[in-house]
Amino acid sequence: MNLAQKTSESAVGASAFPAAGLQLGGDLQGRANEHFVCFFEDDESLVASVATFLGAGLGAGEGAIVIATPAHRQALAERLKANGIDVATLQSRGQYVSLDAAETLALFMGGEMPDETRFRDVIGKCVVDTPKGRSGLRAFGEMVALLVAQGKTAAALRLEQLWNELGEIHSFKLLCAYPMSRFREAARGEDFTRICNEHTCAFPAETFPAPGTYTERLRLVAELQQRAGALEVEVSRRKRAEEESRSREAYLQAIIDNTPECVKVVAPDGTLLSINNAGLHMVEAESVEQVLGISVFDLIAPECRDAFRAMHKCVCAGTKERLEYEIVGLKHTRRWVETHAVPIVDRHANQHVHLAVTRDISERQRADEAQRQLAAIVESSDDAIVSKNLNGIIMSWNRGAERVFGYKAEEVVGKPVTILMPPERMDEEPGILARIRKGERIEHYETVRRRKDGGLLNVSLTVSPVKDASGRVIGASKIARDITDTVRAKEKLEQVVAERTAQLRDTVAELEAFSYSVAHDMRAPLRSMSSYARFLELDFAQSLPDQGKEFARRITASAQRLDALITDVLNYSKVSRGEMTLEKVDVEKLTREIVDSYPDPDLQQSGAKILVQSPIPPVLGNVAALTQCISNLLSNAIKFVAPGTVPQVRVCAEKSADMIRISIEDNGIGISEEGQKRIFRMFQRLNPVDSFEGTGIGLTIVRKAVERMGGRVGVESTPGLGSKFWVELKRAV
Amino acid sequence: MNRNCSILHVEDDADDVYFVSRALRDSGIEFPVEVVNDGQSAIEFLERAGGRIRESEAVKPCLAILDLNLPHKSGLEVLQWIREQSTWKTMVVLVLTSSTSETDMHQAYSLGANAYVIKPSDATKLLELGQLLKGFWLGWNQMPPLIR
Repeated sequence: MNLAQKTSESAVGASAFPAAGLQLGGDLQGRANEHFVCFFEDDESLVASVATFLGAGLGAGEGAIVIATPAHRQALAERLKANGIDVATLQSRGQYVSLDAAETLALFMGGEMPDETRFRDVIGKCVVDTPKGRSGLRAFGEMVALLVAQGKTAAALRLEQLWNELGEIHSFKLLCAYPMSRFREAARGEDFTRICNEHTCAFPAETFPAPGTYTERLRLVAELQQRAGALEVEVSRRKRAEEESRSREAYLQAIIDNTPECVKVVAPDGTLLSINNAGLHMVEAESVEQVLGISVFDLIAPECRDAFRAMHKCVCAGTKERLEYEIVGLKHTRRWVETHAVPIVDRHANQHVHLAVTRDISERQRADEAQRQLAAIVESSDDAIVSKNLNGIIMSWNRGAERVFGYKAEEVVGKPVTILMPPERMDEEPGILARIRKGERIEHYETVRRRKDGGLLNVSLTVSPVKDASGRVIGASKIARDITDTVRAKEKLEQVVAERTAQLRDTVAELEAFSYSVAHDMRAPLRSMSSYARFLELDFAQSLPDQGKEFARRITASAQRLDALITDVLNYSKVSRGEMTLEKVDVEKLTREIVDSYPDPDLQQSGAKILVQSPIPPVLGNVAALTQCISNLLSNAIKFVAPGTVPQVRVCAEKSADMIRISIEDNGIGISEEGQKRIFRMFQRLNPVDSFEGTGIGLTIVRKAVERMGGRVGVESTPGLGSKFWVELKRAV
Repeated sequence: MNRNCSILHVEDDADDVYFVSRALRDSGIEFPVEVVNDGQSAIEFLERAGGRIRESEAVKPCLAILDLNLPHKSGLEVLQWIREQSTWKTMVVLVLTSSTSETDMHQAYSLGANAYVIKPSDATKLLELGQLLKGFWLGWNQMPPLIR
């Protein structure tokens, strides 16, 4: 078959590949069973190689089985024909069998893996049936490549193994082919090796230059080793560079994402190209998908759009711009923002886009507004509000100050605050500043200041320290209220009060003098009346009938009563307005003297027993007044007893704090609770005149005298069980 | 032994005049009692009495009962005048007044009164005073000798 040999030789020159391997074929062709695998970059090379392989066999009278894709089967048939092999005749003779790879595969696949029994049946039968020439049988199969293409690498390997097992029973030369494109990734290296392991020989793809001698081949391998090594190093370097680049990019992205201000990029047509987390928050978006690609104008308040459009145009034209405008978030919240925008070059479109940092200025606006309001409050206040630094120089001056002091702001700001002080008050300033420096506040300090026209005015100052953000005192704020009117009114009032008091005092003095003189003047005629009545009784005792004597007696009695009243009034008067010099008084001794010298005939008649119980400590009082008090109280104690009762009186004392309480207890008729409230008042009598005589002034005198001595008087009593009158006076030391 | 003399009573209240003269009479004082009703009259009387030494030796007052509350000149002024007169400065003066004022008391004694008595509201008690006058001032007490 010289034609066949010639064909195979000419085919050898046509392609780079296995022609190469097959040429070497001396060591290969000798064997009966071969299982080759070849790898290819493009289909044409593959077809050429397979045609060479099969053509060589067909030319030598061998059979050929092709199990391939429809495209490859067609191409192969044409190539063989072009190489001078009569495919049609061989096919009709059964020497050339062409099968569809997918169909054939389906015949023996059992699920994911090829079924051994069925493989043997299908492929084995095929191998047996195809008549053999002298040299044998050659087969080309693509089923494994199909399996690998489907990702079933394990199945492909298993199929290779089955082919190998078949090869142990029948003899044939098998060629498998895989596209190199399936094994581009480093991870596929292991599969590649496994596949190669299933074959007796693996042929490189057509890009491998056809080597000549053995030494040339060795050199080629060495060169390939170097290239592979260099590639590996290059790849890992590239990988590292990529890693670094990725990590740097991630870092930059993190910077942008976490920037607390909104950072965004806007396309010239207004599309939002990117926005960071702060920006999302500002426009109330949950995720970046919600806003990316929308027009930025949708988020701007309608009334601000024109201004923004103009600014945006300038930025995209290449200038830096700044704008304050209002935005409306996705949840319809409005807020004022301030944006600083710069043009940057967009990496894709090579034009300027708008990069902006945007800040929410609501807080700042609120603070500004608050400050404006405060300034307005200060300005509109009627009080003078002035601030000065620690050197006493006026820093600010409100309208109220202009009104109060008469100076306009421009006339006084920068001048020392002492220009407002009259000479005699200027030494107040150092003291005020010293206290301010310590952080103290001065409240309602009343002083005098001077107006521009030289007039003086009374002011009430409140001075507070002014501190900077770190708490250091940097000046003082002063509120001055014009209190001239108030001061004058107060002075006038005090004057009026003093006048009225003096008037009152005069009136009281007059009244007292009047009552004294009236009482005094009443005495003389009373004396006459009383005396003549007595003389009437004495001189005309015999000639006066009983009735006459009775009348005379009554005149005398009445006169005596009137005299007692006048005496009491005069005593009260003396006790009210007389001198009340206080000294140490031995009350015990005084009481005993009073008791001993008691002139009242009633005392002897009644057989009263007066017990003065020691000790009675000395008190601070007036002897005459105390004498009067004790006399009155003793007199009452003896007087107000039930008829037939022997009066028993006990005088004793108790100490409490710095007071001495002197008690006069009796066994008299007692006083009702209601009566106790009234008895110390002037002219209060609880009993009818004929029951017990008395003027009703006695206790009033006691109360007045005790009060003037700085003490108190009171009573404890139960009707029918007696009374205890007490007098409390300061203890004498 | 007291010479015969008179008593000068200086008092403006007619009732008080009656009560005192009654008390003096009832207590048995027999000396004549001269009554004047105001301070000025008292001074004039004493001036006259001081002049007629020889005739009226018997009736020269050796005791004055002097009220303080008098028209024209007060009792204290009369007292002061008396004590300034060489003739009368040793005369026994007894102030008889309704005034309880301590100031008056102090003044009277400072100006040289020999006694200060407060008029009792019951004039019948003046009898006791009369008896005391007779017993002590006009009895036990030696009147100052007359200055010639």
